[in-house]
Amino acid sequence: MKAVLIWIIVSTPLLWGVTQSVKKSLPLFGVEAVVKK
Amino acid sequence: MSFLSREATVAKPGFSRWLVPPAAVAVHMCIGQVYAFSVFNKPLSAELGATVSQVNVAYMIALVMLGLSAATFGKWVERSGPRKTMLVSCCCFCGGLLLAALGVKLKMLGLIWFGYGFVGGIGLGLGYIAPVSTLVKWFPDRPGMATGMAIMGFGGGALIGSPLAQELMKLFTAGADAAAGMAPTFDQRLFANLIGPLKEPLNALAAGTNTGAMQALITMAAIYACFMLFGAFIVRVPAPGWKPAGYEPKAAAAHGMITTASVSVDTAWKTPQFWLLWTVLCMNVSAGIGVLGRAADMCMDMFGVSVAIGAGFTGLLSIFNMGGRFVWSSTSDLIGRKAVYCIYFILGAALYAILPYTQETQNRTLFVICTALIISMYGGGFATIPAYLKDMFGTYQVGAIHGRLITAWSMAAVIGPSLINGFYDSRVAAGVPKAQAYNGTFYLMCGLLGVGLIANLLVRPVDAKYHVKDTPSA
Repeated sequence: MKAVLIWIIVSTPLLWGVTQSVKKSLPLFGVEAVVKK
Repeated sequence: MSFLSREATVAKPGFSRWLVPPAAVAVHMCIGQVYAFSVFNKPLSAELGATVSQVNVAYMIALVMLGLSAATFGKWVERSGPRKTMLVSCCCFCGGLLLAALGVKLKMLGLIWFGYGFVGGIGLGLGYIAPVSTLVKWFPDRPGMATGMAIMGFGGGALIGSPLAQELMKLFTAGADAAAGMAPTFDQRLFANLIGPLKEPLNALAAGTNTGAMQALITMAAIYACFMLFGAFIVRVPAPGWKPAGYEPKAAAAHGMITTASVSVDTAWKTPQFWLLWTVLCMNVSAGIGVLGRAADMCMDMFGVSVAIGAGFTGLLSIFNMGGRFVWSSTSDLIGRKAVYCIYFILGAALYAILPYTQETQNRTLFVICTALIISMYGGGFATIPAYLKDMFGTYQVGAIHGRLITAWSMAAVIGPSLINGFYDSRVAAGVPKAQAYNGTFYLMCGLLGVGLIANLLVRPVDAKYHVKDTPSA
């Protein structure tokens, strides 16, 4: 349980960073960038 | 201060070694922010009335200090253990961010150079090598995967640092979007909830500045300090003589390229193997910088695409840079370090040689695939080197040896872009169209990778005369 929590704490910011890069790369594939809601 | 000593971090029986990589990742993903420093170029330039190039000197100083401090303090890091080193790294790196914030307030560019570049750079060097020898000792059976995980965190740091700084600067400059009648995005709402209470006091502190850079630097220092201290708190070193269940060092060393002996840091740099690996890293980094440094411009010039697509290309490369660190270094545990570097150099050169063809045929998909693979191997080169050093020199002082080898990165970071940009500029000056001016650069990259390949092929096990007697071995 402790190990899972520790892994979540460190991987959450990394996943957020990856998500941001994926969003940024969308125009490369012909998809509109960030959709503001 | 015994809590910080190496002895205090020795793991108790039953401790899971899988709790150590997150400690390393926590530190590396913070110091990886250095790759995202360019996000501050324009705001700091506006605050200080300096040119972007002048502001960017802080980044260059930081990279040089990374190499110098890793090389200088490597032995101290080995003696002091990972916890104390991570704490000092945290103080230097976050202190550097705070000094840079003070530099913005006082409009002193020199203080930003000193704070972010010099002090922060020392934090980078210490933080970079701090977990390496610990991870190698915990994972003698899979050193590539373990160090790859940490160094993947460094690549991920850039992915976090840039959008984090942008969101914070937006938050502290009081919603231009709201004024324009635009609803906030999910990220903006998230940051407003998390950081909102700090907004007023920090804005009051930053009176006289107007880009939000000062407040962003202070907030980032606080966030990064939390993660780095968390890493320092949870890190542990294995008890002397500990080894994973079922692991036999002699069996692992059966094919000769993995030693069970030890070489001290002061001896290691006198061996040809050290300088061959130094050349391997330097060439791999220089060649990767060829694409990474000019990625957006290259994509726009070669294929006539928009700025948004160019930026998208850079975003995609960042993901491959990060992922390659883990994937390739884990692969090296299966096929061997020498083999994986041969792949980096041979496949890398082949892919570079294809790039002019992709421009000629306007095949954007092939271009993206080739460059993404090249960048994954650039990241892989960083991540695999600690395990290669462990194979050659043993675990005894591998962190310190890695520290000295990092100077190859500093050298490549300074010389590589100058060489590449200089070559490109000379082609343009000679009248070559911009779209084709990169072709020469790609062939230059092939040459650099060829030099790296020769150095890698010359690597042999370290002569027994360099081995240290009576030290803990792998």
